Parts: sequence; structure tokens; C-alpha cells
Amino acid sequence: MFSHSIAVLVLLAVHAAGAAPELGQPFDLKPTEVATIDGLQITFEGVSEDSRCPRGTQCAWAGDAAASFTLQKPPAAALRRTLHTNGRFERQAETDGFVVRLEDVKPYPKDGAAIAPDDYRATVVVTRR
Amino acid sequence: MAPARRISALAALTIVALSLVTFAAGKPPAGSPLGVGTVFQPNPVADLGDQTLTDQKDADYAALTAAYHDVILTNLDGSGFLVGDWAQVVSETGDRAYSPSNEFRYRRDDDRFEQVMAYYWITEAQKYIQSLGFGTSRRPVNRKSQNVRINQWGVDNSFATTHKDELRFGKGGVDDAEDAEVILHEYGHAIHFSQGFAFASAEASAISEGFGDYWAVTVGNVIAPTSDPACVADWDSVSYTSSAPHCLRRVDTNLHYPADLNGGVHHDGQIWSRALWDIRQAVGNVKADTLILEAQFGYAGTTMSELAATTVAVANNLYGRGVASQVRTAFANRGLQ
Repeated sequence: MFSHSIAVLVLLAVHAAGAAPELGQPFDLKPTEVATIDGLQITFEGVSEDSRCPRGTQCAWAGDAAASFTLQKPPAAALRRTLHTNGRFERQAETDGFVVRLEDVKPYPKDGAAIAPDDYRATVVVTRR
Repeated sequence: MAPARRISALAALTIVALSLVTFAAGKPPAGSPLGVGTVFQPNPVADLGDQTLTDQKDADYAALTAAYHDVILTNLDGSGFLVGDWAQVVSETGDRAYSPSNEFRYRRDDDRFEQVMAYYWITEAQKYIQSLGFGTSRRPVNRKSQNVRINQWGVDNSFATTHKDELRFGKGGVDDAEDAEVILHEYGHAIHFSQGFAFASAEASAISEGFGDYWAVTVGNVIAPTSDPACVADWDSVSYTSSAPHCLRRVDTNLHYPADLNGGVHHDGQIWSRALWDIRQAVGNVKADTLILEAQFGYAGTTMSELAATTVAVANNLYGRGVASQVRTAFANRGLQ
């Protein structure tokens, strides 16, 4: 009984922490959160601009969310990059043999509803070059 | 070299006369519907043919001097604010433009410049619509004072919404309302709102985006012809395009239905805008804009093909088989049978 409870607690703890990010699999990051894949540390610093066309409106263009990241594989120096949701701009960055691609920024804007900076989530995929 | 302005001589004479009447007495013309404003026509890049112009953080600088034009503001309510029959600035960043003598001369580094731009271009667009008979011999099209919010969105985009029936223009990059073609694009959506156009499908939304682009260039070229009329928002787009000519989009691309649909409403809208542009090239702006506007009433938001068929039928009713055939060809060339 005791060992069963421990196992449940361990499972719950793993679930709460989220599965470890894997190469080639999308994962979400909160602002200031760090993910590590094969020694590459990816920090989502936040969204610096979000001009995506709010749902329920008609816009001049699709707009863009710009997400800032710090990428570092010690002992190499940290690299600061801004990635975008709109294909007009840079969507991925390369460093130390990795390709870090921004897949999405959530939530998507709605007319009349501001998004607090801490509520953003960046969906990222890391692959080997 | 931009083509000569059609209204420049008349505008100059009227502005001089208005200024004499207005200011000689040294007091405001209480209740006057006329005023003077400084605007871009339609934007500095298209006007001056200079692809090297950049935003420079909203600065006013020497290379832009020739792009400022004094124009007559009409249909003002006489309050001294930019409120009139067809447009009203309902909020803004910074000072609200006010002149008891209806003199609204600002430069782009002053947020009031964008307020004048929106008032002028929306008013001129509505007057153009009415010149085609809408509101007199035809059903009215957005015949009301359109609410606009200037520089109220701190990012580089603008939108139209039925939620508050307003147009909202952003500030990122080049302030969006510094480019008449962004203003007119959004007014194109307001036209659709007023016509009972249903945004019931992705194709309907794409049609509205394509119409907005077309509306921007057709009105822009009636009021202020430029050397590359098919380029949309030449000035706003300098902030997010890397190659010249700088265009948010074009209305003369060679996309086809349905092969080139990708689900992006602005992208897919270029199929529609090209068809409208070809109609205009074939029959001229007056017939083209009349039949295009007339065909949009009550569109149920189905497919591009359905509205294309309606547009051909309207062309036939208004102008006969010859024009209808030209309209049909323009759509068929896009794959819209």
C-alpha cells in the first residue's frame, strides 16, 4: 500500500513538472522558464511585440508575435535571439549544431482582451542541424 | 516620377480662397464645414517614388518635405474637431486635433497628423462612393460618420471591427494612419460591414481582404495617382519588408483559384484583388467600382466563385453583355468560373 502511494506521488510529480523536452518534439515554455535539451539551454525571455490580428477583427495584415530567447550550451557564450510567428521574419535560430524553431505563441489575441506578459507561452521545437 | 495630381490646381485655388476668408477677419469661421489639412497622398514612398525612405522613429525629415500636401477638408461639423458627416476621430494618442479656424496643418512627428489623414481619406472615400450614385440612385454604402481610433494600438497593425463599429490604427513601425492605403483598406472592411456582407467562411474573409486592398488602390488612384498603383501600402510596409518595391501586398499577382489558396486570408485575398484590378483595367474605375460595390450587398459569405458569378450578373444588369464579358474574363483568368 505504502509503495503504491509512493508510486502515485512520483507519477503526479513527474506530470506536474511536465515531460522533459525532446529533440524534434514541440514543448511549451513560460516566460523566464528554461528548458535543456542535449545540453542546450533555451530560456524564453518573453514576448516583445504582439501584432497578430485579434480574433473577430479584419486587419491590414496577419501580424506577428515576437518572442525573445536566450540560447546557451556551456561553456559557449549565450546567444540572444528574437523569433517570430510570421514567416516574413526569422522563425528559427541556429546555434551549436541545433536549430531552435518557434512554432507558436499562445494565447492568440482576442479583440478587447489584453494578454498579461506572464500569460504567454512559446511553443518551441529543437532539432539537430 | 509620380503622375500629376488631378486636383492640385483646384485644391490650391480653393485653399487660397478659404484661407483668405478664414483668416482675414482674424476669427474662426463658426460652423464652417470646410477646412485645410496637411496629408500624404497617398504616402511618401508612392508619391515621391523613393524606396529608400524609412520611418526613423516617427521623425519628420527633409526628404519627406515634398510629400506633404495641403488639401481641403470637407463635411466638418464646425466644432473645431475632426468630426464630420463621414468620419470622426473618437480617440487618439496625444493631443486631439482641434482648430477653431479648421486649420489642421501638422507633420508626421505630431500624432495629430494621423488624425487628419484618417479624416481626409475616409471622407474622400465616402464622397467617391456617393459620386457613383450610392445613397442617391443606388443603395447607400456606409453612409454615416465612421468612427476611427488613431494610434490607439501600440503595435504595427490596424483593424476593423463590428464589435464597436470602428477602425483602429496602430503605431508600430510607420504609424499605420500615415499611409492612406492602410486607412482605405480598413475602410473597405467597414464597407462590407455596412452591406450585410457575411464573414461566414475563410473565402469570404479572403474576399474582404482582397477588396480592402483593391479599395485602397482604386480610391488612392482616383485622388492621387502614382507610378506603381498596384502596390499596396508602400510606406507602411517599409518597416517589415526588406526588398524594393516595398508593398504590404500587390493587386497584380498571378495567383489562381483554387490551386494557390493556402488558408491565409490576406494571401488568398490577392486572388480576388487581382480579378477586381483587372476589371478596373478593362472597364475603368467608375464602372468597375460601381458594379463591384453593387454586387457585394447581402453576400452570404459562401465562396469566391459565387460572388464572382453575382458580380458578372450585376455587370450585365448595369452595363450590358460587353462589360459582363470583360468581368467574366477577369474572374476566369483567376480560375473563378
